Amino acid sequence: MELRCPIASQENLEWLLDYGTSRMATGDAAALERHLSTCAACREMVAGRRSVDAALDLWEAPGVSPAFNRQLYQRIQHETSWRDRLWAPFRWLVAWRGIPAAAAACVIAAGLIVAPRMMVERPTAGPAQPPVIRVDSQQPEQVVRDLDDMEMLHNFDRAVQSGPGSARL
Amino acid sequence: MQAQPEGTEWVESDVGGLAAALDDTELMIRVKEGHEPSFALLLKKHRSPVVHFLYRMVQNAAVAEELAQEAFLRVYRSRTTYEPTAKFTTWLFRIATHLALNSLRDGKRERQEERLDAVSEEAPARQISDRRPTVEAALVKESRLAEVRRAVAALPAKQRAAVLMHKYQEMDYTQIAKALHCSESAVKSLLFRAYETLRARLAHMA
Repeated sequence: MELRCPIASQENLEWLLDYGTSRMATGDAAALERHLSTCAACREMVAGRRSVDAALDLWEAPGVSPAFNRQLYQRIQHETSWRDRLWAPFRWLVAWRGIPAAAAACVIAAGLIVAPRMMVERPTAGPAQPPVIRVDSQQPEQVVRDLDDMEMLHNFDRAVQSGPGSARL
Repeated sequence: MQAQPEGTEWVESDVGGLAAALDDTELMIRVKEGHEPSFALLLKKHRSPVVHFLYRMVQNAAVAEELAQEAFLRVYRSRTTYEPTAKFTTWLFRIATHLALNSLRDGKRERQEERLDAVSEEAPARQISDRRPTVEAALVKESRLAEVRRAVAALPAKQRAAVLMHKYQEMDYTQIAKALHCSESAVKSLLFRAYETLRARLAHMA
């Protein structure tokens, strides 16, 4: 099958980049080679890519300085020491392994004791209601009955004061 | 972690066979579990590629080393939350690329561009080979090298990162895509354009 021109079709462009390197599969290379024999643009691209590669090969990077590791470990040490300082007030919690467990047990126990009471004391859940002002109102019949009772007591009191024989209830 | 005076004692003495036995992901899992010699080993394996990549990105040796240290510091810092969802090198270069792009964006670029015209102090010693070329040949090579550096520096930052990972780190398209947070097809397109630009700029050197 004929390979579509990578430049014209914008497909398999990487073949032009990878041609002649170990990145490219043998079958793909063979297909591209057939195409290169007929396509000047792709041939030029491949040649140019090789010259760029050769130019880039000139550029060696300098070696890593001997102080690199020491400086890195110093930075790590510095960062670790800061974290240690921040963590120091809480370190005893980890060092005394029993304390966190005891603290957790206390919290759970306190929760078990307090939670039921809270449930009893606060039975109503829901939106808060405005306070209700209760006004006791007395009916007129009640007032009349109270007045009659007072008058009866008053008469009884007078009868007691005037003597045993005059008592008339 | 205790500071290591030379940094490689662990590797050479205690974990000599570890590198051959474990891949990077397994080493990182060991670091997560608190095995610090594994971190030293990862550092030994990847220090030079990361520093070289960053050097070519920012073109300043001191800045490159500072950024590389920051990258490894971030790896160390993230050890407790590390999940092996991607290849270790992809993750490492993703961090390094992110730092390099930020550094370039933050204006450190000016400093390195000044150095493009001036010959850097550290590079020439390595560029002159042991065959003792003539002064003229050395100057020609130096001039060609300066052109290459200038051409790479003139690429947009993402294209530059893609070319450097493709050419010098020999990363595949999937890895480059993950490091640059883009699709594989976008990487191919970035690379194609970048190599085209370089070809135009460096054509006279062929």
